[in-house]
Amino acid sequence: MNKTILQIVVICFVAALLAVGNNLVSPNKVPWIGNWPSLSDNSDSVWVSPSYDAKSDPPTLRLSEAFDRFVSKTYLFVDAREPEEYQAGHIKNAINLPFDTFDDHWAQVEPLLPKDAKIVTYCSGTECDASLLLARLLIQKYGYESIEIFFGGWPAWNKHKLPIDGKYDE
Amino acid sequence: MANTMNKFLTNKYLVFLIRLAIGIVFIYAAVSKITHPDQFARIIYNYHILPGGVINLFALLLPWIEILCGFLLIIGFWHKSATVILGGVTVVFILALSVALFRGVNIECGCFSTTSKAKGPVIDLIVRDTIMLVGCALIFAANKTFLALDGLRRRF
Repeated sequence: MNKTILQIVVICFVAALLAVGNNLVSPNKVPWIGNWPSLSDNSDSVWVSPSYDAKSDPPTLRLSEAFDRFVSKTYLFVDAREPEEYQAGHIKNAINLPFDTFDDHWAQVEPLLPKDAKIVTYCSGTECDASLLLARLLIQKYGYESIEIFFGGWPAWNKHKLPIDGKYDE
Repeated sequence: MANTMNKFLTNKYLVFLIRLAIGIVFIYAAVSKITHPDQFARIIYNYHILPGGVINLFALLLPWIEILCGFLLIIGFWHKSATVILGGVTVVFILALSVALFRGVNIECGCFSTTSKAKGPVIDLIVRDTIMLVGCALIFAANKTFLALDGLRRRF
């Protein structure tokens, strides 16, 4: 058994030497420590709409928190962007409820959103506040209670290549 | 009956074929990862399991472990140790695929190619890796040295 462990160590050591050697001479070499964006690196998800009021508006989510909610499968993601943007690509299983044309879509969407659903709204990141306006509308006019806003929205989700329906933006 | 089954599974020719097959599979799988470590690293990143700092390290090291162990398995040198490593690697693959399946994350498997866009159902990949794991367990348990350098070492 000790012999096996020793052999395993030697094999791993030789593999490491080969890897180092190859990465020194390979035309496709990569740095040993990569600079991959981390989900918990919040630099790109701290932006909130200027009209956001932390006292009265629903809580906001950072990307890592939004992903945790997505994984839990107990939250409904609501995409507040226009149908064309939604159809091109959206967070997997998200429901489209465009804020700008809310009245045209509400009748269709209402049955999909139970009043006690836990909802996360999002739109096009730093360029939009439809997610905030939609959240306010759902709370104030329609009596929803559990809504959170993911301001990072589609751009942050797309950048990290998290689960979607449709296509990623390049 | 159990004895017959046992005899069949530890038949030296069968064990040799499994050794050969698993060795070839891992070498084949490693080649495109070695030539395109950047793409392989991107695939690992998409699993969202490893911390960003160790992704490249993993992408650079793993294929060399696969290729070296695959080679050792084929020539039958230190084949039990190589089997243990490949079994461990396969367990890591199964865990990673299971996490991806549970989370519903879009992944390219990154199993054999870093460029293929083909995405099989994740559950199929888990089944395939499980079969590989059973193969590794069989090689380890059978301890046969037919057409293996380990056999020569034992003899001389």
